[in-house]
Amino acid sequence: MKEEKIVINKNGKDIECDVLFTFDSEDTNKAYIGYTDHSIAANGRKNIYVSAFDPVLGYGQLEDITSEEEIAMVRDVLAEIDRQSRED
Amino acid sequence: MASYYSQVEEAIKKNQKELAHLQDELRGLRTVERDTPRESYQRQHAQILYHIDLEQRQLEKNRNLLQDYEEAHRAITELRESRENAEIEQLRQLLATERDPHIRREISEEIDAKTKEHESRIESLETRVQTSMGRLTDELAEELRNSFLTEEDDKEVSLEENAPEIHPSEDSESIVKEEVVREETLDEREKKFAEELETAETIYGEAEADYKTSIEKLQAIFEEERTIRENEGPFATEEELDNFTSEYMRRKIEENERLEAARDKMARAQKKITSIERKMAAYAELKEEARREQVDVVTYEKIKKTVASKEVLDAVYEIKGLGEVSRRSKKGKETANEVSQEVVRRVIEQLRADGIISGQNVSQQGLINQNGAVNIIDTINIIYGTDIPVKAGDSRTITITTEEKERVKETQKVKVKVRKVPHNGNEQEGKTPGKAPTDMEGAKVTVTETSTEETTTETTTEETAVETETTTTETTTGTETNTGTETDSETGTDTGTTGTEEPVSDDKKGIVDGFNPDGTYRLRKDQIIQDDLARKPEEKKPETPVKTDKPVESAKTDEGKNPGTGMVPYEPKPTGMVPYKPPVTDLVPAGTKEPTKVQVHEPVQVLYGPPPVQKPIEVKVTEKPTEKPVVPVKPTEKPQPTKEPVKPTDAPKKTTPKRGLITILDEITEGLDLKAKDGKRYKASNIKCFKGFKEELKSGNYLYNIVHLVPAIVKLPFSLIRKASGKIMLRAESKKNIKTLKERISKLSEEDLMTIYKEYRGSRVIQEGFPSILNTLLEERIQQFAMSKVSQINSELEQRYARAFASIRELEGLERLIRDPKTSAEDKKKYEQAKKDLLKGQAQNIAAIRKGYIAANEWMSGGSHGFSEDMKAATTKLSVVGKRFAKDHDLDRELLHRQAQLEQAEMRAIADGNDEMALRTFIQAETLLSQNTEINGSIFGKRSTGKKYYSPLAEQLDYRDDPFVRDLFTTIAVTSAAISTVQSIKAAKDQADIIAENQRRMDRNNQTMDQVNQMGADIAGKRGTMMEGMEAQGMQDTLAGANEIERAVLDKTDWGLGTRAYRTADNAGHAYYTSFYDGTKAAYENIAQQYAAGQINQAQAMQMMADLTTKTHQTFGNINDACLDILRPYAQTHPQFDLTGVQGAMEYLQANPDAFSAMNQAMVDVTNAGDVLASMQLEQLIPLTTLPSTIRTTIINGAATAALASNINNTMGAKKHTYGNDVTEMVEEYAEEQAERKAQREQANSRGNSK
Repeated sequence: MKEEKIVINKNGKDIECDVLFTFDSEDTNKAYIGYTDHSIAANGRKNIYVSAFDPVLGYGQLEDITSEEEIAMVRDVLAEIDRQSRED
Repeated sequence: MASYYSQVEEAIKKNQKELAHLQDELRGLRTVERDTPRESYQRQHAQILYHIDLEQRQLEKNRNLLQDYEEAHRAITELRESRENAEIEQLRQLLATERDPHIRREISEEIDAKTKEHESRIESLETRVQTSMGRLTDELAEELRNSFLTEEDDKEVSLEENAPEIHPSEDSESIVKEEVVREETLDEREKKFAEELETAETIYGEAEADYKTSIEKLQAIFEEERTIRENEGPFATEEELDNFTSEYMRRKIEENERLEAARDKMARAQKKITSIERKMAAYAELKEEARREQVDVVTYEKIKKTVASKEVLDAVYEIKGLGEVSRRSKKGKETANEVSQEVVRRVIEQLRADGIISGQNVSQQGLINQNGAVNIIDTINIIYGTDIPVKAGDSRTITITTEEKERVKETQKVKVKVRKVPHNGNEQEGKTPGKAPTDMEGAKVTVTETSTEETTTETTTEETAVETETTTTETTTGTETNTGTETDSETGTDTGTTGTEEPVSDDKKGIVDGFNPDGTYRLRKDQIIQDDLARKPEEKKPETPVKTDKPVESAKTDEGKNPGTGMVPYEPKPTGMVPYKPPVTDLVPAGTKEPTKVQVHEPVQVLYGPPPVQKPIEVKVTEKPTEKPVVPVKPTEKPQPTKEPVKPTDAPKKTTPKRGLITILDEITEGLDLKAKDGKRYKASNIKCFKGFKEELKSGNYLYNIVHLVPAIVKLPFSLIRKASGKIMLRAESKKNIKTLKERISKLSEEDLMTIYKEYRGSRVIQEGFPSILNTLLEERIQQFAMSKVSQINSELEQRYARAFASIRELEGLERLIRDPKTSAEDKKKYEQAKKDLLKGQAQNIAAIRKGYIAANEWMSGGSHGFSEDMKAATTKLSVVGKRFAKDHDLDRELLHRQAQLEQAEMRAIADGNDEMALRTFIQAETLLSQNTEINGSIFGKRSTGKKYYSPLAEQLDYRDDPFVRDLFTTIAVTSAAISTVQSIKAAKDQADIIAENQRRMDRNNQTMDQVNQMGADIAGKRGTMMEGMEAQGMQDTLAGANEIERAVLDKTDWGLGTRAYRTADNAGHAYYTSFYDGTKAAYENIAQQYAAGQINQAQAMQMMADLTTKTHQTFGNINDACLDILRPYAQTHPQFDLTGVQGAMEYLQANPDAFSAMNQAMVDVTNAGDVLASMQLEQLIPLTTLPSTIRTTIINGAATAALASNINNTMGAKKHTYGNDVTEMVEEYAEEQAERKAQREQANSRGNSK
């Protein structure tokens, strides 16, 4: 996939983030996007932001993910990507 | 402007420099590792590593890009050089002259074989070109393409220039006239550019308008859908909802298709505009250069192109000593460019010195030949500064010495190809390059003569070889890129009008960018590149036809003129040869490809229907209760005797054998493709990962936090405007399967359900290994089934209890009458008889009650696992069930003893058939339990605080059904959203200018406002509730910790429950957990004591609770992490156990270490924010309705939070239906009566004593 950027506003500053992955879910009829500003959290881990958006409209606002089911799915996707990256 | 190739080279240097710098930084950091705080060091180290990785990847990428460019260049060059096959040509010549049929056939076969082989090679090269071009970026690909197209254009220019051929017989006036025509042509060319630009801009404007219209329409569709949903409320039927959703989904997709098409059209038009503008600029530059050199632009352009030809460039490179590699370097190109410019100037000077260029005239002699082209050989002579002595003989075959030829050959390094007929009648092929600039006279030849000579010279003499050499020089010209000048401007229009930039329809192009049927998105880049490469040969103007059947003389007449050019076609003398046919060079044009169809599938939405309606429970009463009370007693509220007992019907005799468990499971799952994860969790599809992230994951350098409450998005990448994958709106097959399965399970007969209930339990479930969705649905159905049984038993128990308590009241009434001295003997006898009748069957009734209770309990929690769970709930007191119902008192031996006496007496009476004794002991036992039961309201709902929990009917004490608990934990999840709401409200307050709504909406908002105010007040007043909630959460964590310890112990000991290893580990785990629990409990109690003592206020207590709960959760997190290390390898080696859920939950906790602490803090904040909600005004709410949906969403979440707070309030305040049932009320009532009577008796006795 071609590299993509997304700009977020964090603490009043516009920060450019790298898009890491995208996926869809037919359970929620939404598409999801994962991206990072490469910031390192206090626990030494890199932050990955994950948001949902309307796949049909596409250019609509990104939405927060609040349900546990969706978060579980995001975790599954990351695990799958991780698995694939090790196999590649 | 530097070429993209050069830019990439520069980028590589920059990458290398940056890498070196980063490595230095890393080394520097490592040297100070000991002096740097650990955390800071790790963070810096990680950041530098990240940047090194990033730079390394960028470097690799750039290097690969250049390699790909080289490969693409080589591939295209080879392809072009391979288009003509000299061997086949020779064979064809042989075939043309051969008369022997056998030999002819052999030659034909060989030609066929060679042709196939050649075609195969061409095909292979074409594939190589497509592949290598596909790997390039758009810019590099275009640059490479342009470099080759320039050379193609050169050929086309030559063809075009053939048209206004100047015949030698024409006078100077004709020449001047021709120049005028050319000038006009140039003007037209510029005009053509302008027209094309205007057309492209018009197309762009139209597409842009369409794009904007589509966006507006889409927004309107969304708004319309939302409005209907809001105004018309829930749909009456599932089908209606499906239709509505499908219709709007369809409209959205269709409009989105139009939007995509418009966007593509815009992109194409923009590309076209850019291309034309570039060509215009290049052409303007060319004109300016020509003006400076005082040469007409056409002549100047020819000179430049000639200089840019491969042969000349090779000579230039040789002069400067540039090899194959170095000439492609930036420096090499710059050097070559400088020399080329110098060559151009020298050629012009030479032409001018020779009088060939005079003012704006062009000579037909010498360096510039008849067709206006500059002679390459002469140009090379100029470069070398020496002349190649050439002269024209009488036979018009020009000869040079062998030594000279070799020199030219070596210099040019051009392959010799045999070619008997030129591409067109005006090429230089039969003619020598003309005289050297110092001796031009002998080179005066005419085109006709030259051509004639050429076709008649079919020998292998040295002269022919020279001709061949020259021809080859012409035909292979241009395989090298030009020297950097924009010489493609002249022919660029062809590319522009027919290339990919033309906004042709998708169908015409054979390309449909968008989604494939499998849901993946199809990019167009490769196709575009292929199109350009493929279409170009096809679009070339047909070369001037070579006719062989007409005499040369006729060339001067009008007959046979090319209608397009007005030229007389070249007609060689008959030689008996087969006419030359240009080799087939066209790649398969992309336009011939079948366009890929975009399949848009209708979305399918499957909703679950309501749970199957259960049949009314039949109430079975085996004994008819007493119809009339003999004595007046306080009537019970329940109409006990009115129900007619339903006699059990005889079971029908079975004629077929009972169905087995597997048969039942086989039938209900027939035709259903049930997946392991069906119904378990959401599934993702169409996962696309960026390469960099995969590589980062592979490196294993990082751990990650998943942040799902994201900051504001400022800008989204354009490419995210994409269509949904097919899958997302397509199959709901999984849901359909579940629905079907659910329906089938709901229709199972009682007999089948009983089979499943009895047989599909315990290890059998694991042994069969069915998908979890089957287990889930079966459990749901069996729970319903079991509860219906319990309900039946409870109904029966209720009847029996009613009978027992009615009987005891009657009995006591009768006894009072018998004891009454006023009662006559006859009446006493009658009452005695009534008493006997009343007591008849009471022992049997009591026995049935005891038996029924046991049976009902078994239905609810049978099996050793259920037993174990019940014990855990009762003994740990950590589950909500345990907290609500388990007792935490010292053993009351006296009470226990009394219970034991009553139990034994009752059993003895039942065994002896002593109805009266059975009834009396039963009533006493029940009353004793009821009197020792105390239920009080608490955070856990109505909680048993007495010594006993009296439950005469079988009760399902399942915390999952407790609405309060469910609400409590949901509240925690949405409190953070509520804070966002308050912030949004505050922000919205300032936006007074958007307050404009109609009255209807205002009314509705007013109502909402009242609710929000009330709910805000509720939230603010529920600090205590939240505190208890946090305590509950903390305690839940300790239980979860215990469970995880147990799970880990099981995993560690390979699930050997009875093993010594298990017991040892289990004991250790329990010891740890007990300590954990005791510590937590003590800490909570300490806070409560401080609050009770007035040392801290409620808000402080709440904050302390939040901190403590967070700490508890962290401890739990540590347990979790430790256990996860055990679970992961275990899960991998024990596929027979589905541990996905356990592992998932644990990994979630590990990935979200801060989530719970954030929630706790949110609870503190939200109660403070409740005051704001409570005082919020309508004016603050109205603007929200016009705000973006995200803020509206937060309002909804806030309202939901408030509603939950309200629910909590109701639950806390509710008195009804939280404990007990009709029977407990009946028992309580009886006990109260007894207590009242006792009190009256004692009062009477005391009065009597006082008297």
